Amino acid sequence: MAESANLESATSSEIPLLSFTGIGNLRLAKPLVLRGGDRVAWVILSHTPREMLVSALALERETAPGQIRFLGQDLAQVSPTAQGLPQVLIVPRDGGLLANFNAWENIWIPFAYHNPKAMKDFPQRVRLMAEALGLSGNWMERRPTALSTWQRQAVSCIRALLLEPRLLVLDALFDEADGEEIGFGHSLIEHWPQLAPGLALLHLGAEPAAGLAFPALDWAHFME
Amino acid sequence: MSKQRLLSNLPQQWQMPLNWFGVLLLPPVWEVFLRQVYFTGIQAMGTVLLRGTVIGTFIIAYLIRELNADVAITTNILLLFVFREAGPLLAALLVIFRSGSAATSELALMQITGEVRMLRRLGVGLFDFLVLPRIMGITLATVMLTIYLQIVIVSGGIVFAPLLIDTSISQLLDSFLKTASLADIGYSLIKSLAFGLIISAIACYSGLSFRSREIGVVPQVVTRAMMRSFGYIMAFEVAFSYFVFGVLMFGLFEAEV
Repeated sequence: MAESANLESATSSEIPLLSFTGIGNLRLAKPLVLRGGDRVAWVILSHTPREMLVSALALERETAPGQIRFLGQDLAQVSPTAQGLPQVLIVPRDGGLLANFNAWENIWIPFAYHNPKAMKDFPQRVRLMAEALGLSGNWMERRPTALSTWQRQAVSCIRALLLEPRLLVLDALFDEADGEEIGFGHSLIEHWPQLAPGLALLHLGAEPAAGLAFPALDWAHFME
Repeated sequence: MSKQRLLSNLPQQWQMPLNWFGVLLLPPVWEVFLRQVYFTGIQAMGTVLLRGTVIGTFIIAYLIRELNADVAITTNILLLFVFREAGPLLAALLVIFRSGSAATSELALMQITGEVRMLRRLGVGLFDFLVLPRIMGITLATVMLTIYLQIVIVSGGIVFAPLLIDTSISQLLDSFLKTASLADIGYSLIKSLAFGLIISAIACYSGLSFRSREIGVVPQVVTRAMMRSFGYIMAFEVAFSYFVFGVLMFGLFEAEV
């Protein structure tokens, strides 16, 4: 049974960014639709379909035709941009940072790999994003093990946003979140239009409280 | 003419190495390459200096005494044994123990912690970022270490030998420089290059093909990679010696001319 907590309905005649009708044993009566600029949370109580959805969005798993469509085409047919940039990026709960590099290098590596000639504004953009998300002090020089969970998540979000994907998926970032992590979540959602204009934000979690804890979200949807 | 068009006009066999060179120059790949050269080559120099001097001096002293060597034999020991064979082999063993094992375990742990998957999701090529700079870095550092080790051991031998036989440093040095040829230098350089490629390729393959989620299996993977590297290096050593000089097993067997 699926329920929606509509905080603000989104209407648009453009092709939806993401259209989801189900995965594994999870089947929805009506497709869930995500558009550019949306900030939403989907709560999937069962672990397996949620993991499968994350893998599918990361293009690591095939899905049945029509189950998940991205910009009008099946997810399996989605390819990186001409520059090799992925269109959907996943931010895992632990941040997914490289342990042998500090926070700055973690942000720099994928950006410099894809855009080696566009480094001029890079430090300024990182600084502005970090301020918006509440990162301060000497966070840049610290390795991931010396950062707190929310700081790792913030660094991971900055790393992903600089690559300008169309959709950023937060994989259970705010499930069982402590005060600092909730604070970071609020910053991210509130500043989203400035941080990532036109991009969509999707939080995939298993905890209903996480879906309701962020009033700035456009809407939340619950699935069993 | 654009770089891409220029590249596509080249013969197929030149395009891939030039592409690799272009990838190596990407800032993050270059960073990993420099770190690898530093760890494998520069950081190991202290170890090489100490161990190379000790091992080399003992070997040379023992051989000179047992063979009742004169200047000519001592020169041959330094050139044929130390410079051509022992130098590249000892450097390769050092690289296997220090860098080969470290690279294998690092990549295997990256698999377990999900870092490899994260790189893939970020669109960063695994070969570009993880394999290429390690192979280039370890290979270059192996060549550097080999040259360094050869200088250390040969110098140690030239300095130490006059204590055992009736000669001087300058006489021995002169004899060595007259006997050594470009072929000897080329032979040891090609061997060290091949050893570096073998060690790094096996380390990267073993680390990245690791599929278990258990951290306790990592030491087994590392040990297997080290033994495999050693095996392939010895096989190359034997085959290359035979190919170049027509001798097998350090001169025990000779090819029919």
